[in-house]
Amino acid sequence: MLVSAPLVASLTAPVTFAQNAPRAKKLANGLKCMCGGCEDSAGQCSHPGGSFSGPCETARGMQKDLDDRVAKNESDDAILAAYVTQYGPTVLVEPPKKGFDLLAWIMPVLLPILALVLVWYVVRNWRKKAQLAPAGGPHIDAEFLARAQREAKGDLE
Amino acid sequence: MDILGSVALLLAFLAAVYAFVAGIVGIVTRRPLITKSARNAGMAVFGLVIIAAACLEYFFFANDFSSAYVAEHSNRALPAYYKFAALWSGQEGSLVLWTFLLSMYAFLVLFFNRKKHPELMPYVGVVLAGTQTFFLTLNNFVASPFRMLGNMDAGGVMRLASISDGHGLNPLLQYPEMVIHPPMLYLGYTGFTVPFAFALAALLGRYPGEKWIHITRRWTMIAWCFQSVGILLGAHWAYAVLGWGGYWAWDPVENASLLPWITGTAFLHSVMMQEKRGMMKIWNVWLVFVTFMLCIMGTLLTRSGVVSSVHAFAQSSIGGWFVGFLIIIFVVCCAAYWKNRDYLRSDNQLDSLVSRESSFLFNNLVLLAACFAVLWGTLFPVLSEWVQGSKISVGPPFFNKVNIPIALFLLLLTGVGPLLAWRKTSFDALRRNFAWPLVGGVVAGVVAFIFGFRDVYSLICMILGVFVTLTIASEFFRGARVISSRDGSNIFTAVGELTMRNTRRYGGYVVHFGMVLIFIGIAGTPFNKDIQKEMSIGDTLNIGSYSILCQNFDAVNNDNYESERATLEVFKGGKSVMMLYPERRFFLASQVTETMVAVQSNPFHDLYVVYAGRSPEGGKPVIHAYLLPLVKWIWFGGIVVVLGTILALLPNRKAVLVLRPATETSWGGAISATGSAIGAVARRADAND
Repeated sequence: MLVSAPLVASLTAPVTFAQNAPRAKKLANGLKCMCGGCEDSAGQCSHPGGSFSGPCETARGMQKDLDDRVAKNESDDAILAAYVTQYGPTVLVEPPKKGFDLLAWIMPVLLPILALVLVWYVVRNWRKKAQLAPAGGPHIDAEFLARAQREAKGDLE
Repeated sequence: MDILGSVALLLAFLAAVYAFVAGIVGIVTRRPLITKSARNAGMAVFGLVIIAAACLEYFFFANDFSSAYVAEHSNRALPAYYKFAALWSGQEGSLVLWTFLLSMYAFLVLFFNRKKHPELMPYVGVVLAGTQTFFLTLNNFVASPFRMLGNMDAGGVMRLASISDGHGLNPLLQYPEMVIHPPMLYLGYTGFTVPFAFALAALLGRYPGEKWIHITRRWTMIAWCFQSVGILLGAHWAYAVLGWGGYWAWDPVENASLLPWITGTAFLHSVMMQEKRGMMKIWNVWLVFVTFMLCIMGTLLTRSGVVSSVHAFAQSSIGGWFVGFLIIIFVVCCAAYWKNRDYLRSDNQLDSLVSRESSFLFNNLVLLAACFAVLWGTLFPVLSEWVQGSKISVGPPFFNKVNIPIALFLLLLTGVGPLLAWRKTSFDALRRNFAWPLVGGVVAGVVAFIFGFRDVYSLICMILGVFVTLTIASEFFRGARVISSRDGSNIFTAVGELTMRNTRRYGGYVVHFGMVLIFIGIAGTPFNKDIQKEMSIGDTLNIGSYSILCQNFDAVNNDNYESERATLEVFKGGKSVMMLYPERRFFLASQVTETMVAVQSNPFHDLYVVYAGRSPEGGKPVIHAYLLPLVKWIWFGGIVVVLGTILALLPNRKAVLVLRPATETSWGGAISATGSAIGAVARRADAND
């Protein structure tokens, strides 16, 4: 079966830590390490510059907590909601797909579509004009044009 | 020495202000003497900034820690090459580097064009001087690198502080790439000032024709090439130093370097529309304006702390100055455009949707979509906090989800665009040009699937990679075959001849091929493997087909750092194949520990081994090993991109005189030889793209 998730998920951060459940690992990758000293996710924290180049204390704590919650059969939504309650929405590595934050997801799709419509409109206009008459250029002083052409010729030689 | 440096910076500021004001006066009054003096002042700025930068370097090499900047960013034990690079390791010095490179570009532009384009160059000089004035204002009055540390003596007299050693250079920057990565990136950022200056000058002066495009094409390509090298070196540094097995984290500062690169790429493509067909004039002018504004915005993001970033070493409250400068640039660009918009009317219209023109339109649309997606994701946390009052995170998963489909579409256009003809492409031509590359791409996809490529994006990437490579190869082959049949030369000589006849076109194809290699390298990412294990001497760790045996841990110390090093023997199929020595270095001056990754690279994968340190729980050494497929293709692709750009910068081989040798010594032969000489064919270079 073909899946697209791996490239999306691991393009930048292939680090993993030995958590018990794959579901806990997936959840850890979706939560930010809240140590304040790195910008990694809890599941992929390598904490550059730290005393240990692996998950820092905060990340390890979050990983263990996720293992425990998964073992207690808490749902993904409940676990994430608990973390958002504790740290705020900044704990999620990507914007929530609701409310104002939904804009983060919509705009990168909507704007190219609008741009595509605009390009189509412009191209259609161009084609119409091309069938009607050749376009003219702005008025340029003849003496100035001749001078510029002489310069251009000089540069090419 | 601090006084000399400060005076040089102040004089440079005054010279830039004079160049700006006198330049405007010269344009308004049309007095060549004033214009000339403004130009000379603009060139003098470079000399003065060289003196200032040399003074700052002197402080580093003299270990003079009475300089606050040197005390903060250097120490006695720092190797000489890092002392040299420490100049741009902090806010003040990196702004000096920026001014230095900007002044260098300004000097070269003004010097090489001093006898050319008399109607255009005064405007160019004013724009360059205006930009220099802004940065020299920062150097002199906001972030002076010549701030000295002082102590009050017993008599109440202020004296220079006598400090025995400095805090040292940030250990993350003590890596060879950090000596060249910032200058390369800055050469890109500052280089885009040149096309910006010419575009604004041409608009302000209503300079006729596409001249500014011809003049700035090479400058833009040079800036673009430096930007590409800077970005790739930064990625390689992140890969080799941070010990996380990745090379791109979508950090705001990384994104900031990518944004002008994307719009610069769009400009390099759309500019051909203006050159060949006199179209997209407004678009091109605004692309250059936006590229320059994104360069300034990138600097703002790096230095202001407005968004969270790992590049925290250069943050301060300087952001307001950049915001002000951005507003001024935007207002000037809008005013210039509004006043002279009739000058930008198109000469031609689009004849067909299936044409090179429309492919450039799509190319630009997709590039701009990518640029917007990156910019939007980078700034959205700020916007969200402003609207909702709570901060959110926009991490790598968001950027990957949004940008991978866009990037793949762009890769498709890389193959399709160059094979479409200008004005209109017939169905027959489409079939002829695309049939074999399409078949090749599909076959590659099937083979990749059989060999385990199960990620849909990676699979599409492989298919498109092969498709684009084959379209490029077919372009070279078709052209070379014509030359070969005409000259009788072999196909490889003909490829060389073809390339040198139109370096821009075929250099561009080489750049495209380099991008394909980079894409293929990235496509390997989903298949990364890693394992982390506590290891004592004699323990073994298995990853892929490798077994890693821990042989020893030892210490390697010097004045700058104390290092703990693991000695690992790598086995494959039971045979010892290599030794690896990952390290952890504790830098004495800054009291910070960093990893030194051991990487064994081949075209199939990198074996990437990190000595992560002692386990926080058990206290045993921990080795983290990664098997990262195809990473080498990314760096190799980067080299191909640079070579392609250099090729595209070379002048075309114009005319070749072909003389048929005389084969007879008779009168007839002499007459024939003379006839051949008279009728010698001067083959013109194929100037058509």
